[in-house]
Amino acid sequence: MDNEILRMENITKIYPNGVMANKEVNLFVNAGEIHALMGENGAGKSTLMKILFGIEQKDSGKIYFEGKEINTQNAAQTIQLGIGMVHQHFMLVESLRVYENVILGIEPKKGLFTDKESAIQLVKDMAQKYNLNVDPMARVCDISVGVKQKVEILKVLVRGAKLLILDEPTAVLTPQETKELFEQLLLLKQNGHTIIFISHKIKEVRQICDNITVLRGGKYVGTMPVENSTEEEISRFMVGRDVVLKVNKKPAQFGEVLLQLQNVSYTNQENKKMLNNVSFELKRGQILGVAGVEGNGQNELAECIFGFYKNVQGKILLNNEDILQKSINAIRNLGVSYIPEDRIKTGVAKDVTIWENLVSDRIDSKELKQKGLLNHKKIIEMAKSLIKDFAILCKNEQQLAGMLSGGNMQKVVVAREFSSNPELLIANQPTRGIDVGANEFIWKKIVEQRDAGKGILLISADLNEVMELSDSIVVMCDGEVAAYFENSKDITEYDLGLYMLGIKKQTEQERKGA
Amino acid sequence: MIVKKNALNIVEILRTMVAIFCSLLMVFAIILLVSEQPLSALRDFLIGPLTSVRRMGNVIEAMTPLIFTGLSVTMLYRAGLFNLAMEGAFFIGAVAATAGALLFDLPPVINLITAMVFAMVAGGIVTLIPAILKVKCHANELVTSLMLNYVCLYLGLYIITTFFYDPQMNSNYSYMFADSMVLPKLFSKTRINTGTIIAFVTVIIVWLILNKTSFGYKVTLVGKNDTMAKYSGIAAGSMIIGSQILGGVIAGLGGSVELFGMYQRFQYQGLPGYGWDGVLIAIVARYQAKYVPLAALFLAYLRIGADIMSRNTDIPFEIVKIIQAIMIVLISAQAILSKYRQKLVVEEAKELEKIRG
Amino acid sequence: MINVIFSTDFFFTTIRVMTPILFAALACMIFTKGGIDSIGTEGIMLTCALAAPLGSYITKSAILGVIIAMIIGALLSCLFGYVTISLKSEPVLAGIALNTLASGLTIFVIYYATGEKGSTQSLNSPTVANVQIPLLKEIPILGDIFSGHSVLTYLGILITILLAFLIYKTPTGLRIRSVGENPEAAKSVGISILKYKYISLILAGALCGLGGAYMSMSYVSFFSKEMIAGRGFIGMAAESMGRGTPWGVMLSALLFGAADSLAIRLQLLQLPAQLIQTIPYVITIVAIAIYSYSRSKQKKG
Repeated sequence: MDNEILRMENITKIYPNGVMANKEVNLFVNAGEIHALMGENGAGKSTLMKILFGIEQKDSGKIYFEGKEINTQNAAQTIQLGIGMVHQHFMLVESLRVYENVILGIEPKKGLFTDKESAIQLVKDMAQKYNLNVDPMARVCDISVGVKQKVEILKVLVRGAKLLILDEPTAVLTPQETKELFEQLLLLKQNGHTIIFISHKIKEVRQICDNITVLRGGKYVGTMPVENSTEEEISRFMVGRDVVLKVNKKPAQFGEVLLQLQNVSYTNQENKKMLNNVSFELKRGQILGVAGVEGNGQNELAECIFGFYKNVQGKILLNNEDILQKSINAIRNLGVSYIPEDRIKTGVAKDVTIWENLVSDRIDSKELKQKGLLNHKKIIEMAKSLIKDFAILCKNEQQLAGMLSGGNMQKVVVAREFSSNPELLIANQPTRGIDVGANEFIWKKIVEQRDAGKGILLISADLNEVMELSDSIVVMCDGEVAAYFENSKDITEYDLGLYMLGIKKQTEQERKGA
Repeated sequence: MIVKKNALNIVEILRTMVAIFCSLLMVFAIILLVSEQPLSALRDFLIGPLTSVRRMGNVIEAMTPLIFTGLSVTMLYRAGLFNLAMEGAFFIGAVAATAGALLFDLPPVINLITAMVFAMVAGGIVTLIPAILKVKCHANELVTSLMLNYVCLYLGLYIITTFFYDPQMNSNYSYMFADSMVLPKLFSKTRINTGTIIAFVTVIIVWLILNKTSFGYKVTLVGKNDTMAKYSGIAAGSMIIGSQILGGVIAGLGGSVELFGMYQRFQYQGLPGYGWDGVLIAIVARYQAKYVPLAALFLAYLRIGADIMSRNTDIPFEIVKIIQAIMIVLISAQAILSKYRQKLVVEEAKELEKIRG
Repeated sequence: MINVIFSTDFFFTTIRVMTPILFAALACMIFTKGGIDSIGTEGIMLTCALAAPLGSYITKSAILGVIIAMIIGALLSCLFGYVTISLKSEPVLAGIALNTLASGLTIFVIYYATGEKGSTQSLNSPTVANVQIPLLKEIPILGDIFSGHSVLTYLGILITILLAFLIYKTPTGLRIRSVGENPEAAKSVGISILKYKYISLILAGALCGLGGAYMSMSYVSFFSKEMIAGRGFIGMAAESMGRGTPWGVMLSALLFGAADSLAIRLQLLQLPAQLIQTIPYVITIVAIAIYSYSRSKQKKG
């Protein structure tokens, strides 16, 4: 095609740890369009964009920009060519003013000094031209997330970018800010800029994009024009799954209600409402899967229950006792265990030994003490038996946790959280990024806990995991419960995708009736 | 299969060895370059401390305060804070002990214990201040503790000159202590005293606290990863405050032991610097209480050796500080041996693969 | 009594004792702006305080002495940078090591230079002159306070102004600030992190050099051991209290100078000078606590 601005052909990228992040991926973008790059978490979108931007190097494949083959080694070179990227995590210096951030590295000069007037004028002109309403003199630490994003876009434009990459720009925005952003993006398009818009929100994509490229599991699924597609079609493209693992489990035997959430709402520090009136119930002997695209409040949900936040509204009842204002320690003592999303920061302490990691929640328990002092013999015995029971592959219990592979590190977390004999177990992405063997093992353990009459809240962005493991499913979208299915077999992955991506939503009656 | 020690330990120990070796090598080079009598200088430096009972005694005497500050720093840093107030705590400990010794007229041993308790309380208060400011206000403990050391210095000197100044002395010395306040000597020909025993008892207590109590465990965990500690249900703030108080208590006790062991009256005119030495000792001991006496002995030996050398030859005593500096940098330099470390880690991983095999 | 305390002499002394703290604080400011730990300021200043009289003794020139001190300061500062950036030493520990090294090395060197261990008094090295400012010195009171200081004092004030321009008005300053605060962001727009770290290291080291030179060539006319006596640490605190702006830093340095000067005068009046000497430190601790508290509240907001 003659008005093609970017052509990425057969891009393959294998990370040193053997993960194939991109396998022969294609991306063809026309000049002057807004092109959506879609896919679930881990589909390879970010890797592809990092390769385009020169931050990562491809193993094979070719990239053409404006007809010429390019092979940039770093961000600065890519910027020179006219490609700019707005990162999901802003690259702004907080204490500097807006205009200073915009001109950083390309400062206009007047003699020895920065030409402040022309710098501010430049930012003002740019801002006006693209209707990006920012105050050049404001300090970045004082402005809202939405405005910060505008500053990032300005930064890219001032550097002469013809092609803009926006990495999930709406993930951090409020609905109003999103609307504003879209107007600005359309204005950019009118001015001849090309935009690659990374997202997994189908509604948004249909609103402003011209073409869609979908990746799944690191592979190229296809490209289609928006006008010839329906939401359902796109969803089907995105939400396929390869069933790698199956689980054997008996039919569930639900007991009495263990955990009840009543109208739980939570607003984060950036003033974004992360949970909005969330209500559901979890029974003993039930694995309740929480499905959803990442960043729709699932992590906040888990941390609210576990007592991480202070300003949570609503009620969280465990065995009819409100645990909302309780400390993490008190909540643990009531029989709640938590496998956190981030095992490296939260789940384990990398610089201490495995046995120390295994007892962090129960170091005060009487069983591990003798005359007020720690009974090391007993602790080591316990650690050894946990290492054995949970098949943690390590040299011995004295090894530092940080030396373990991801899967074994996760097994340390699982061993600790399961062995405290919890009534409620919250498992947040329990098998992310770990090998198949460890994955299977952890699933088996989860099912064992269910069969022992425990309640399990399983949060996962991995559709396969949610559908295989759960007895019942709650779908979260934009911090709200979009759907609830008492029996997970009542729903297909395709339908689940519609709820996850915000295309469908159950009414309150439907949810209760189900 | 031979069970090796865990790879990381090996690297840490090796790095410490390399640091000691390099710094000594550097110092030998300096001595050879500048000294007129390099061989006798080296001999004095290396084996001088062993040549008489008195000198061996000197080593033990010099080791005693270093054990206290080494333990203090170990305790303070276990919680992950760079609280440098142990310097002030040691000094204020000596001041408070002076007050305890001169204010009361209690029966002999009881008065001594009272004075030491004074010192411990005062030391604990000093290190508590940066800790509270850190936990409650998120103030950088490094700057506040450095400033606090000067407050301790001037406040201490004020207390001594205002309340305990002996007008018969030229400098700002306090009155003499009663004979019963002096820690009994253990061996003739040396000044080694019961203070050294107190130091070793403190080592055992600190070792017990850090390794055998849940408090010690929690403090260490908070220091290594406070997010994980909080998630495990540990009250990180209380652990920080508790550990910092303890660190100050140890330093304060050290101040009183040094005062009653080696002096008859308070006569510091400035901060004595043992706190800073404690940093080196804690690093060499890898923040393990049980290695602190060894590290303190090492530094004390170097000091006495350098002292003998400086008396007999043309090499000044301060060469010890050069060794100290090089050792601190090299031991804490993560980049040194990092390739070897990487190799060991990879080997270990491969070995595990084989087991799984 | 008030007359005795707040005499022209008091204000003159204030400026005199403020000068080394100002240099230390400016050095800490540049370190901090470039994202470098400033605890080594104390040791660098001490070494430079020795380098200055030795340099001027050898070259027979006060100016060259000062310049040599600045070069030594920059070199030591870069050594600190190398150890922390390339060897990845813990910065606080490396800083403590630098201070320990300086305190040993200086005594070692003067022993070999002069045969004494306490000071370089016997060298009679050239010193930096005090200057009377024409016109200003004619004005009553003001002339007595502001005229007749060391050249380095006036240089210090001039440098404060220059640094204000450098940091806030030039591309270099902008880049130093960005590298110090958010290296990732700086890197993403193609700025070399190492280059600007070393620029800050050299600048700050040279400032330490000036501070050290002032101590041994103006404040007194020779080097004596441990003569920096915590001024480097006070510089850290002044930087913190002045919130990293040149004017704030200068005001904080002035506060420390005034308290020191007050203590000197109170000693004459038989008042508890030592208690007065604690005041600037106590104020610093309180100010840092309040500032940190308000900032942490803001973040939680």
